[in-house]
Amino acid sequence: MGEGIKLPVINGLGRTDRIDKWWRQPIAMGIALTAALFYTAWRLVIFPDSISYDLEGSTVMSPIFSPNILEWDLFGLNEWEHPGWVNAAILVLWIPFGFRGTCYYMRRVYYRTFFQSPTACWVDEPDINKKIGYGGEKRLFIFNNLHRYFLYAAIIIIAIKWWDVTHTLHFDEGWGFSFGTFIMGTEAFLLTMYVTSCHALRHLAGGSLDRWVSGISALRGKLFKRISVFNRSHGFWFWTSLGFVFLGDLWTLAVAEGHINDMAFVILG
Amino acid sequence: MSLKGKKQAFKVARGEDGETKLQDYEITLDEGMVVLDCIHRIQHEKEPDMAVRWNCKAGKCGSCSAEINGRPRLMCMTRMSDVVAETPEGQPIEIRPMKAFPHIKDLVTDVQWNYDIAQKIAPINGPNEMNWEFNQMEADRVQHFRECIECFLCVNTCHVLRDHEMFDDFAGPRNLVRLAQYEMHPLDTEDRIPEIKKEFGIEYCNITRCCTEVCPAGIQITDDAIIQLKERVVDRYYDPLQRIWRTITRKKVRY
Repeated sequence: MGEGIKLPVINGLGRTDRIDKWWRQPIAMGIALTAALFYTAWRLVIFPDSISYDLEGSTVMSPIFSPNILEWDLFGLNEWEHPGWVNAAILVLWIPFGFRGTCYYMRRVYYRTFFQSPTACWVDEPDINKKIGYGGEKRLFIFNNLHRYFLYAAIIIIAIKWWDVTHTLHFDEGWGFSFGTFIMGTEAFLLTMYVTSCHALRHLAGGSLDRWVSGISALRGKLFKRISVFNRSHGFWFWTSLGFVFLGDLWTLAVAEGHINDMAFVILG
Repeated sequence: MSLKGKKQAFKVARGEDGETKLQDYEITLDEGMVVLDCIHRIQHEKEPDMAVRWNCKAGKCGSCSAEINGRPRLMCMTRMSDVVAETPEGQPIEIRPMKAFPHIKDLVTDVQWNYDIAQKIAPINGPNEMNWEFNQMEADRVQHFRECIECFLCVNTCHVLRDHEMFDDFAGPRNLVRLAQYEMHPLDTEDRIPEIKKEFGIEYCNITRCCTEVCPAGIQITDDAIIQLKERVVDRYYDPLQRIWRTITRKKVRY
């Protein structure tokens, strides 16, 4: 068929008959994900300070460093004399990384942006992809089949996130809320929606069955139907929850470093 | 803006036996036309021997699939107002046949491969007793897949077939939808999971969702058919806990 137009092309990459601006989405998503990766690396290795702040007795914890398991009285973690480079995020972040990395939505994003397989629909792949040969999710990406195990771990993390939100509600003088509560609450809500709309959860809840007739299976059918509704917007929850993790961290950093002041609104004294 | 009386340039792929060229045409548009109307007008006014496959003109027969401005679409369901709006002023609208299939002539391709794959799929095997009742929720799930009109735009779009030409190892989105339709049928007793993994190569799909983007019937090919089947393959082959559970409960399945 006819050679493509637009974009100066190198070999097969970008060869297409499309006339719209198909490169916008992969580039935008690529920039967003790369920025997220660099920011996380900076926060983990170079600047792992100011991970939380106290406000009149309440604690607001950065989402990246939550749960702060180094403070836990579990397996003697709080007494562990850990090396200087170890922090809570390094110990816990593999769970959200694994969950997001094997996510059925995220897979679409990174196959398109980072592996150009394909860059966009109806756009030819670079010749190197064809030279290497295509293995789909059979070879290198076979680990993606472990998505459900990361899901189990992510559910535990979500529960702890909500527990963290309650810590922002309790002040010396009583119960109330702060700006930190809103940001952490929104973050926990978005993450909950992201996990609830998961494809693997949808399958485990009821999708694995063909019949939803009586008792438990009827309940699982209803659950499947409900999750299917959220599942349609899995990508939306992916991006918003990812964004709020970094927003929450920036907020915590800014307050802890004294650039912004948070306020406590005490209702029940 | 009314399109009546507007002169519009087209480039339509013409030729056969491996010799295909884009040919220039210009026609006068009318209000409310779809792309297929324009092709018919070119046929009527200029090229009576232009080959194009069409039937219902209502997006139900799935015959008139083509690539309009590089985007696979049904010609009968693509409004000229939309295509004119997306084409830069002065540029012709380009119409090509589907790229992934063997070319026959002009806009017609040979989609036989899809039917050959379909024949390899084990049909639904109903229960022996005559109580064949199931509830609406179960019916809705598989009914959704029956909305497929077999236009094969998804197969044409899938990069596993379009770019890597793995026609021998991968069944294509349309037939994965068919497999989902049979496999998730409430009364079906057949087990197709080993074939879905090995013969139909579901793991070659890397869920980049182009098939769902292109489906004119609005079937959620990736979310409802392919990912659901992939999860069933994970149940069978990649989930150690389920494997242990099957051993304990002595449940025998094929691998």
